[in-house]
Amino acid sequence: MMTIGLTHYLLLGGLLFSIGMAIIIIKRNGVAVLMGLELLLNAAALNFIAFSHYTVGDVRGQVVAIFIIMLAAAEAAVALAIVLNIFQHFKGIEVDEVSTLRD
Amino acid sequence: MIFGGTMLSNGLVFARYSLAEWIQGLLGDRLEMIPEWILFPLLMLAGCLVIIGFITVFALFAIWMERKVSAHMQCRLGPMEVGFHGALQTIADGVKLLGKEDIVPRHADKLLHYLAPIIVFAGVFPLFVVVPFSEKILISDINLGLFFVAAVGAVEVVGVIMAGWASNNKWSLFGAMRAATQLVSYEIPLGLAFLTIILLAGSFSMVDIIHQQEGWLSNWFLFHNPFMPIIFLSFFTASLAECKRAPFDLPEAESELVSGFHTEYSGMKFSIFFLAEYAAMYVVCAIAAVMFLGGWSTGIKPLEAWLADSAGNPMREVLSNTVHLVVIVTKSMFLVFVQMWLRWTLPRIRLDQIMHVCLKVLLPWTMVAMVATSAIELCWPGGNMVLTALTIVIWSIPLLWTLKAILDMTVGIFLKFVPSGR
Amino acid sequence: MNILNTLSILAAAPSEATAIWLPVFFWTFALVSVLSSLAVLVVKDIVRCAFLIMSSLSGLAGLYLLLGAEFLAFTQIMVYVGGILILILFGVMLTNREPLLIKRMKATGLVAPGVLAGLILFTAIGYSVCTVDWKVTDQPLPADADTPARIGNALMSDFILPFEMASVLLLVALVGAAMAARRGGAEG
Repeated sequence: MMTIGLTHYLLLGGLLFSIGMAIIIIKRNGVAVLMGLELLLNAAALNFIAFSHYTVGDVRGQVVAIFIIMLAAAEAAVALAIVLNIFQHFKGIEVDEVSTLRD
Repeated sequence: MIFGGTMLSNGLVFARYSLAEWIQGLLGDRLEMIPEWILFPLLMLAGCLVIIGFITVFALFAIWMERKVSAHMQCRLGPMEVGFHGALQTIADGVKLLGKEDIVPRHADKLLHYLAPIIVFAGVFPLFVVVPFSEKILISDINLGLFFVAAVGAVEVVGVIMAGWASNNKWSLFGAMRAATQLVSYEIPLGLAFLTIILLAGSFSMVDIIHQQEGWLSNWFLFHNPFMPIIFLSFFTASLAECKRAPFDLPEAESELVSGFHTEYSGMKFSIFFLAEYAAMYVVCAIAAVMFLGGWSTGIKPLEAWLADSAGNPMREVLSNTVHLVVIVTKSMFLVFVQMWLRWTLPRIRLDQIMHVCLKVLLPWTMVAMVATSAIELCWPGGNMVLTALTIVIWSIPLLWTLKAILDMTVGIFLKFVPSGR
Repeated sequence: MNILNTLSILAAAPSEATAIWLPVFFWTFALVSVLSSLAVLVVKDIVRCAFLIMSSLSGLAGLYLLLGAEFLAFTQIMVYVGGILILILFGVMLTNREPLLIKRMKATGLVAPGVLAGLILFTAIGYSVCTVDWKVTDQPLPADADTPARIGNALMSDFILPFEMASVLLLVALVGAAMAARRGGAEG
């Protein structure tokens, strides 16, 4: 095939970002929305690493990607705790049924 | 080279010594006739075949050993029929398993049910890439070796959860959830133990870690300071949990959950789970030997120096590799034996007890030991003879006490039954 | 046994093997991650979705390897497979109402807007990526560069403030998640 360059990685990152966005919009299950969010974060991390490799030639992009992974982990923990709370209050985790701030 | 050097310049490669070097040494100039791009997958395939061969042979031996060890601990003989003292029993059983019908439950998630054993095996198999046997007998010395082990070691649990979920059986699901709970408990002390060794060695690479411990026995990281044995015990306990060995075999607890996550598996798929379990046993023991027991180092400085001095002496190089191979396999097999010994000695503990042990006992102790070790490393970089002596003195007390208890229980009981004074 | 000599002949980079195998690996990993994330859109079983998203993120880890970021690749495997997948599966099983083990999600809404939004977003990103003339460096990191050491140095020098803030954030997330997940929630 052809040589792989920066554009390939950027396009792949864009594609994954779009798919993640579509997952967030289409899915109604709170946990599935969370999965879409993880995909968004990872698409961004891929772009950072690709830029770090192709345009800068050092590890700064990789460090940013480490922070992204760390944020994703923290976000997953907190979001799942919130999902559990939503489940207890609304007896379901369909995000579009969660429409009130108080009962 | 593929596994070593800079063949793929973009980071597919991060290694120094390798199996590939061996093959080059064997083939010599003839190798240059093969185009590089064909050589690349061929060498990868060779590495895979070596690993699969080793796993199979080890599992055959270890299953027989487990049966014999358990039998003799319970005053039985174990398998005696097939081969010398039942040595071929495992092969016979393997043939039987191959011939068995592969049953998939009707309401199972068929795809995941099929994939689960593959993923379990895929979580153990890559670990052998970094497990070293001697300077020249290793697949690859990745410069992130220990980190690779910590990362890939978690993949096995995905397969276990997948198996438990896909079987659509409540016992399997309980097994899977237990495996997940166990994972989040034991991973933290395990990671801290890895961290301490990385801190002492200043490298992730298995070969570097072993080179740091060459010389006399006192150079082993186990004797680095009085806190290291704590880390070793914590690592060993956590690694028992990682292999799902008793007393941490909750995911497959046969007296509670039929056989846990692999209840619904039969035939070849079941034997793959079995193979992966035994392969994982060897991997964690070999890694413990590398991290704490000096890897392939014999612990005798003059011998090591004599073996290392192999310039222009191919015979001695072969001898050195053989000795190191025997040494590291012996150390690992001893630890495997201890795992079996514990399995047939200790009762299974409850899930909350596992979490208690891992998070409330191992974690604080490992943390204290890690901070103390880093302080010691800061004060006396490269270790200190006084501290090593202190370690041996302090830890010989519980060790001797344990030995005395073992002797009382084995030789003592034996002596009691010997008719005396006739 | 002149091992090192043959090694140096073969190790000359950029080599023929790089040119042939790098695209193969790239397309394999890219296909794995794209196809499994697309499958998440279609698949109804939430547990299958969780495993698919894991396969997608593992494909990304492979791409990180190709980009010379092996530390990140292993971190990705460790955090996502060892941590987040387990969390997600716990989340699925603790929010399970039906007695059936295989849990299916309710029918999805907003399919057309979702697909449309994804397509528009991808078109926009693709257009901007392809039109910009990216300035590619002529000095990429060498393959034997000790990236873990460099990352460590960067974390402890240039990125020390984000690093410390990250540790505080993780602590807050830990405490917050533990508080929020308690039965009855914060007011209980």
